[in-house]
Amino acid sequence: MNGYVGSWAFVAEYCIYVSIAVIGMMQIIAAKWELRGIAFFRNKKWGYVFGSVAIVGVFIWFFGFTGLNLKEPIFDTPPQLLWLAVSVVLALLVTFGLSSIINRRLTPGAERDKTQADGIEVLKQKTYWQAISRFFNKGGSR
Amino acid sequence: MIHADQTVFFWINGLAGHVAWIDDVIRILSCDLFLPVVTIIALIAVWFSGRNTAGRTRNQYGVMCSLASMGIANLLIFICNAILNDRLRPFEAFPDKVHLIFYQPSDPSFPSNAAAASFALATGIWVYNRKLGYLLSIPALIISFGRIYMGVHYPLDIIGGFAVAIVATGIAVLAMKLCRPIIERLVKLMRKVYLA
Repeated sequence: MNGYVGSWAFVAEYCIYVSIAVIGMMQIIAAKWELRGIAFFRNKKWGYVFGSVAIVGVFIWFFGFTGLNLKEPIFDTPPQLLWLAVSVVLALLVTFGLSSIINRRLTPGAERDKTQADGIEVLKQKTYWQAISRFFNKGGSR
Repeated sequence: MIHADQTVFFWINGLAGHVAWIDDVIRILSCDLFLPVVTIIALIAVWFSGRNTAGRTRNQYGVMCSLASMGIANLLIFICNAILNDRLRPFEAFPDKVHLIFYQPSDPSFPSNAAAASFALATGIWVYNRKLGYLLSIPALIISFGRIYMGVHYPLDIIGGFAVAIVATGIAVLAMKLCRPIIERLVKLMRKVYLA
């Protein structure tokens, strides 16, 4: 790697590119499976629109408006996988954090709380923060 | 066989260098930064998708198998590169004849790392979900075609990469069977923290 593609600026742009694409996909997932707790929008339509625009927009930006030159060598496989993983984790943290703030008034009723919801199904009724706080308050077992 | 391989290579690579925008599109589609990222995003969608817990769990096993296959395929390529004689890249073997429209990779030509990794992602998930497996084969086929078009691989390198992917998936499936209790615990743990 040399020049622009070996620089931290490129790594930052790559991480932004992957993270925004993943955030967009998470909003489409939230809309499709009605996971209100991790959605940025109440209206499902906006979830689809935001997700699609984020994915398409960030692809256009990365390939059209950064200093990327595909005639120069880019990442080797190990650093690429590392930054890919970092970006995915970052995107999940942003999605869970931001949606927990946006949906902080989401109050699951007592009836709903008693349902047999499991795993990510719980995020249909609770934000990630509400769910994970409950998990830790109960000492790691539900 | 080598002669046929080179004939097909020159036929496909001969298409390059005529229409600039087609070259640009294929360069983007076949680089390591586009379709691999699209595939990973698709795998994230698969991980969180499913009509019920059983369906979602099956998808999650598929994603794990897919990623494990890709990891094993990379390892196998590393071993192949150490054992096999270096096959020169087309642009190295025929510097005056090849239309090179990509950067010059420095690793051996056979087998294709990009083909092995992208096919491994597809064959890994195919074991658990046929439809998704076929769907993820599309990016793998595009990357493979693009690598020949751009002058960095022979068709035989791609076939070699595909064979490596199948072996890698076989190993991944076997490993997942052997480690089933550990994987089940991992999925349960992830479900407890609302990530599965």
